Amino acid sequence: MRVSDAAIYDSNLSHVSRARSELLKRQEQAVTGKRVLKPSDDPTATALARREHSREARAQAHQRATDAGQSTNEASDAALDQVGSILRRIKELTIQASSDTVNASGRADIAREVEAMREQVRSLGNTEVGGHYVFGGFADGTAPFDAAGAYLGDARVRQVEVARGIYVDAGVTGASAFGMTGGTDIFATLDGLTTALDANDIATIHSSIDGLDAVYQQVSTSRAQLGANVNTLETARGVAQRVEDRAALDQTKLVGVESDRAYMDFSRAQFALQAAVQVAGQLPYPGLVARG
Amino acid sequence: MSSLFGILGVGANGMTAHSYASGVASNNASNVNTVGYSRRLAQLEPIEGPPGFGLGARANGQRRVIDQFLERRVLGGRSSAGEADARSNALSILDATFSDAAGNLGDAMDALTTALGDLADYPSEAGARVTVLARAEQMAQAFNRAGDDLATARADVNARITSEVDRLNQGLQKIAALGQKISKAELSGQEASDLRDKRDQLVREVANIVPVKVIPEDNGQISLLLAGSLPLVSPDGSAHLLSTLTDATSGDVVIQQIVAGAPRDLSGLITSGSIGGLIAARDGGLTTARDSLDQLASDTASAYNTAHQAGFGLDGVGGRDLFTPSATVAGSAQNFSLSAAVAGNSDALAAAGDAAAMPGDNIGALALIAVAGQDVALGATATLGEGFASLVATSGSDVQSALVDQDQAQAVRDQLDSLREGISGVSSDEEMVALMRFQRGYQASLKVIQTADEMLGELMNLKR
Repeated sequence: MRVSDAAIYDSNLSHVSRARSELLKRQEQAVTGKRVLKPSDDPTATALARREHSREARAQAHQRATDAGQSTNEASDAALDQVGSILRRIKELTIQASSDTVNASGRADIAREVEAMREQVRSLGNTEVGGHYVFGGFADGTAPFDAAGAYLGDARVRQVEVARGIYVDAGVTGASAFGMTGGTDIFATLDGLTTALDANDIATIHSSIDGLDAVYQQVSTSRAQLGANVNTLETARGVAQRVEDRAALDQTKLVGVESDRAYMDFSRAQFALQAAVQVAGQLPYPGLVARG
Repeated sequence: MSSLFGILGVGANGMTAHSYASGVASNNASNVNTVGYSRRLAQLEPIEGPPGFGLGARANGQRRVIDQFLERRVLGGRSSAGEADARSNALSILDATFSDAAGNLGDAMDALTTALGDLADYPSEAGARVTVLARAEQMAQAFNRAGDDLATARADVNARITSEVDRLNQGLQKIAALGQKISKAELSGQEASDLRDKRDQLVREVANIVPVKVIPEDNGQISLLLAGSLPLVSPDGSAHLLSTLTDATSGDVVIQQIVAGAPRDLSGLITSGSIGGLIAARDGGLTTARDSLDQLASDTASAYNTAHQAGFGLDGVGGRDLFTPSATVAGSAQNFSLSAAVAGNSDALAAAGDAAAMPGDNIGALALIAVAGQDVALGATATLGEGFASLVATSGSDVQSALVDQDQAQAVRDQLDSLREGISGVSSDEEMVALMRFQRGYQASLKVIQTADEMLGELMNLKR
């Protein structure tokens, strides 16, 4: 084939040019750790990685939701635990007061104790975490139990989304834990007991024990429910954590490049450029023009 | 009998012929780096004399060494490469618009969903509300930016089409003018190789812009046809220029030619060359991306608005839109914005499920989060995130195939160019050998003259 002078130079020029753009691409890959630098490098991988990224962000949000829910659950459970202890103490005193070992003035002393503990229970019912009253239901901005022991809160429990379309209760309402709707009203029960103690009414004091048992049962039921919520949220958090880790790994597999491989490709591209430039340096070959 | 004086004449002819041939070889050597130069060969032929006697050699002009069939293929290669280059450059904006750089639309959509999650977790937190509005605003800006980028790219492509038409017209005028000059020169017996080379080079440049076919005509003129049928340059040496018109509704540039006073739309005819590539990019990848983005913006606004209308703000008012509803799908991305009712008013954000709007009521917020999982995009077959991913994949594919076409077309063009170089390019070694040959030929003719002169001299001496 006949080869003109221009052909020799042009051919070398295009080799050098190609080697340079390959070098730039490998350099970018090595520095960023990404095989896919632009959507056009691998459109399918880019789209899949984008979806994994969304999945990762969603899983992180789900974990935060479980944390928020747990915070309410734990505060509620701690409060109900204390309410339970108080109720047990009150029951002890009630049994004492309903026997002959205590006289009227003794019963009056017990009445004062029950009054004080009733206030403690009310204060526990108004447990607040970061401005959020855990037993208020949807109306969690203000204390749900007023001085008279009436429930000002809402009957609905707030839910958090812990997986797509999966909602779990965060906490319980004061209405169910303290028997404010359809159950045994804890404050009515304790107020009734105090009145009976002050009136030295042994019969009423004795029958209060059933009420105390009922109230205690309500608290236990609520605690069991909270326990179940806590477990559900913990499991959900674990699942979301795994989803997040998996999504992160998939993204790396789709668009990332291992650093060893990236560095080797870069070295090879460097060498190729050096070779092309070396050859360019040998031109111009003198030919007949240079002959004397 | 041959005359000695005749032999002197033969020698003289030889000298003239060989000195002309040396001139041609030297000219080739000087032009080794001239773009578009075709090497010339001196046409040496014997001079016919009376039967039995030659009168030496003469140079019957020079001819350019070119392969007409190859030249035609080279034009095709230039058109394809021009098309692929223009198309891939015009589409490359899509890579930047839909990259995963900071502030990209995909991340903004995810960030809004995350902020809504925090609002559902802590519905009475003022900070959570403010953050949702901030993320919604960022998503709106991401839509705006993407829409604006595509609109700017489109305007840029239209401007380029106009300037390529100008470049084409300048080329056509020069080609027509050269046709006149070549015709005049050759009719008066002069060499027009340089002018022909120049015209060939201009035709190659024109082929880069639009697909053309060259038909050699009489008197050194050519016919230059667009896409094999429409005259751009006629054999009478006149140029038929193209013009552009901007469509009032779409803002797109339309290419026409005025034929007998009436404009003729050429849009469908130009499918190769840089103009063909620009049109393909504009009406193909750029249009698809713009329309898909607008549809996604419209779907996003209406899906979030439907959920938001069912909820209630802190003020107990429901039925509000979160985003300004789009009047038409076209332009939805550039016009995407928070609704007037909600912008700057975080209390209006409908986190609650009923008009009581209690601080812990997050029913509305949960419904807003659920939008990300609903099939509201791509004709109600995919989620918004999937719709975006599909948009990224489609535009990435358009760019990728344009780049592949570009590589291929460049390789073909380079190969054709190098084949052409092989025929018409100058090899300095070859010209050096030619010079040596013609030098020897010249010396031989000189020797003939010298010998004839000596013989004549001896003849003269005979008389004494």
